[in-house]
Amino acid sequence: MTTLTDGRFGTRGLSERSGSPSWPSTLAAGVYDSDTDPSLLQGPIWTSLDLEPDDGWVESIELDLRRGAVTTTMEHPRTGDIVTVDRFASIVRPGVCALRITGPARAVLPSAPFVRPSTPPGATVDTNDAATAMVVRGPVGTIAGVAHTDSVDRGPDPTDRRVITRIVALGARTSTAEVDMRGLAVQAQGAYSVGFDALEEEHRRRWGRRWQAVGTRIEGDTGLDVAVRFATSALLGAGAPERELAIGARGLTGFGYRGHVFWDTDVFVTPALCGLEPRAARATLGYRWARLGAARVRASSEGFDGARFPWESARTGGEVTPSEARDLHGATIPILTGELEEHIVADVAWSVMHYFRWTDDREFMRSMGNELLLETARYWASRIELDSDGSGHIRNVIGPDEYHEGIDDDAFTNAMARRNLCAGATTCRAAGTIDHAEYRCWMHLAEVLVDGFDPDIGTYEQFAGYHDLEPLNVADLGSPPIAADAILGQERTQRTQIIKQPDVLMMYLLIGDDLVPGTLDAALDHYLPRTAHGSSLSPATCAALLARAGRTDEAVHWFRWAARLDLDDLTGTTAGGLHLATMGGLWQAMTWGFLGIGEHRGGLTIDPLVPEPWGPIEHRFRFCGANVSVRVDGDEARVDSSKAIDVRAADGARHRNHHAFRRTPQGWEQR
Amino acid sequence: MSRVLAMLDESPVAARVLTTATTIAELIGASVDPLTVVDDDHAATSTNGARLVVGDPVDVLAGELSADDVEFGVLGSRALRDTPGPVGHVADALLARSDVPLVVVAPEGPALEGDDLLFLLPLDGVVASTSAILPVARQLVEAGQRTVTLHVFDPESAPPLATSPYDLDVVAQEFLARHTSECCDRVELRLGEPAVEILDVAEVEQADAIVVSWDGDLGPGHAEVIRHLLRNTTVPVVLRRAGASEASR
Repeated sequence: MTTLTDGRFGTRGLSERSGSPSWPSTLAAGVYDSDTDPSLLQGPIWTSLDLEPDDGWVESIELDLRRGAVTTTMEHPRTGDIVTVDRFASIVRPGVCALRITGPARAVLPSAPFVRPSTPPGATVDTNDAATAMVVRGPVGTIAGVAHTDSVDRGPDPTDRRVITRIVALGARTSTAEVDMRGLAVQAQGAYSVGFDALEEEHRRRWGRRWQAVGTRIEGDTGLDVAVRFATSALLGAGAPERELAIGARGLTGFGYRGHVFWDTDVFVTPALCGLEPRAARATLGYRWARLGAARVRASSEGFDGARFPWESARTGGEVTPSEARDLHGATIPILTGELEEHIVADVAWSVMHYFRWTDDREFMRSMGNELLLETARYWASRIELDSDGSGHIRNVIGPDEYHEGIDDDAFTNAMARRNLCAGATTCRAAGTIDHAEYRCWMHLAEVLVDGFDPDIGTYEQFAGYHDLEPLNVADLGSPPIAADAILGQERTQRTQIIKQPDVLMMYLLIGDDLVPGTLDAALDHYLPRTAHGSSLSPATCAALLARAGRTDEAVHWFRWAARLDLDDLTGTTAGGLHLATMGGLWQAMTWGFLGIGEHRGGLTIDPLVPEPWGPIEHRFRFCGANVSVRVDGDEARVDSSKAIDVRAADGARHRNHHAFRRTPQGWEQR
Repeated sequence: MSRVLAMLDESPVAARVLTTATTIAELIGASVDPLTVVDDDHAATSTNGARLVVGDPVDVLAGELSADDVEFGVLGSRALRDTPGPVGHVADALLARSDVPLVVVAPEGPALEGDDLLFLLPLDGVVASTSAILPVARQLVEAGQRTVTLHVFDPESAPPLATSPYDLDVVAQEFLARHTSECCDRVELRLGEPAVEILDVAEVEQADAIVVSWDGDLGPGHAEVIRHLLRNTTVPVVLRRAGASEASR
């Protein structure tokens, strides 16, 4: 939780002390240790320090969200010595990190600036003679660091204060190419000459500007307010305005999910970054675009057109999902997601369209977006099977609900593919990259592709045959969230209607406009009792939808659960890093759910449904180049933006210059 | 030089107790001290070359085990599957009183023998249990032996969302870091009845012995897992009481 990251490098570790069990490590975005079974490569550890005595210290750690810095205070009960360590990863100077250790000279020992990380087979670690530089060369990536250190004693006595300052420049390559060590040395020297205090000041100011532009304030619920800020801080830290950016499931905050890139990024993180740091959102799509070649090869190898993105992606864009794993019963089980969880293709396309609508980045569409839509739509066009009655089907897939494998016509997959085809057809025809015949083909397939809508239940059947499964509810097993598959066993779970996470409901979150109007309540009534919330993606998604349905008490329950997920380690897995997608889900739940903010024809819509216990809410974000602030206080709402944008309230009228609204029995109206 | 006390009687398991004690002594650089206690002068005929002491077996052996230089005690379990207790009455009393680890050799199982052994360390995640086992594990690792930690979740204690292989990796690594990173490089996670899972993992891993901590009470309603292990495993079980003082040794 105290990882410092600028989106390019992440420095994790609760404690700077040598021998701490808290996995101190340095990670770099997109730098892995292998192409066949990749994990994030560990770079030089630059935060360690040696204390005397070497154990028995009582630590307290403070993460200051306002200035993006960590302060560790250590006190030794026997000696009474107090040592403080301040550190930050500069967001002004990418790759520059700084550490300052202050304490009695007898306690703060001189130490080498870098510690060797554990490395994979085939990796080498080199240090220069002065031990001021270290290079970790993995089989397919390199991370290096250069340090400048000074140590100043305030007096001759061992109890006098010693201050050790360490300024580090980190560099990385996503290949075996060498890091420019001379350049790093210059960067480190430059930062060192600026000095710790000045570096910290510029860093603090930049964070201050970030918080002025984006963020959420929930008055009346301090705990939730801080938790949401923590999530926003983590999302901001995950992003960087690079050409491409691989954001793994835990970002650079840990080794969980080995740093692989999942749909989490496209559907949860990128949308949040659109509102927080649009250039970083673009970089995540740049990552996908740069791997279109591998996706094309995969589609072709499986007999399809277009591009099929991998369920788990790393450096090359090839599929890196493991084929098997051992479960909690000691059995080896096949992992089929890499083979069958195809909705990732449409998720990428959805993310492209969402980014475009939220940023109006036409250059992105010309250079990358159109091609992504073209290739993903082509994939679905070749993937859909037409039956003799003319209906279209996508068979043998896994949807977001991973409890059920090898199913036909997963509602989410089909609906997202339909959206992908329509968006691709419209966009690519306008761009002139497809001819009329292909346009008509895609639109026809979108029309005939079944979506499982069932008038009897007023919503969609999750997949063909779902209604025939054992109608078990989660309440029959316990109080969610629960791991139903662990309780029932995988085979039994597959025979029940219990689902791991929203699947049909996920459609309502992402593409509600495509669905039969007025069916959200029925969908929530039908699927929530069947949802185990066995995924960290689930609670925030449900919070957003429950908020839209006006069920704010339930919405707040799941919103709070998602907000505390890592702070309270509710999954027992936070040691593996922060759940960035959950944090993206929180942003969505606040933006789309509670505040009803959405994009519509280049403008914003707003329809707040704020829980009564909450006081005024202020939500700041970026939209189409503007800094936007939405403030809701009871029955009053106000939208301010740094440039003119259309804002439409629930009354349907567009307001360009007057963005104050009042709730009436009929909905929100312009004041 | 420290001692490993081999507590011998006239039962068939005595030879395997002596072999096990010898193995442990070689691993930790101690000497073996074979000892037979009889409570009747008329039966005082030494066997196996063991030291012979007359007296109440429980009192004598407990006294011997409390000596500063005794590192381990090894004894045989006389109880079979159809007898009332998991071990014989002498062992039962010693297990409850001993501060040093006691190795119980099963009546039908093999001795601990060899210099490349695998020890299974089931841990419940409670600090007291870990503290009891760690010194033993450290000695074994320093002796070049292999260890595998096992943690068994029950459905109520299992992390609710941690069923994906990646999440289980994280849980395993974190468990290792918090409990046994210094003397174990691998942890197995299971869900179910601890006693059943321990036996299963011991078999799958082909463990040579199981090292467990317990509260020192084998009475009804206590130590169900330990009772199950002692009754059903054939490999030696190393027992250390949680809360047993390291300093007392």
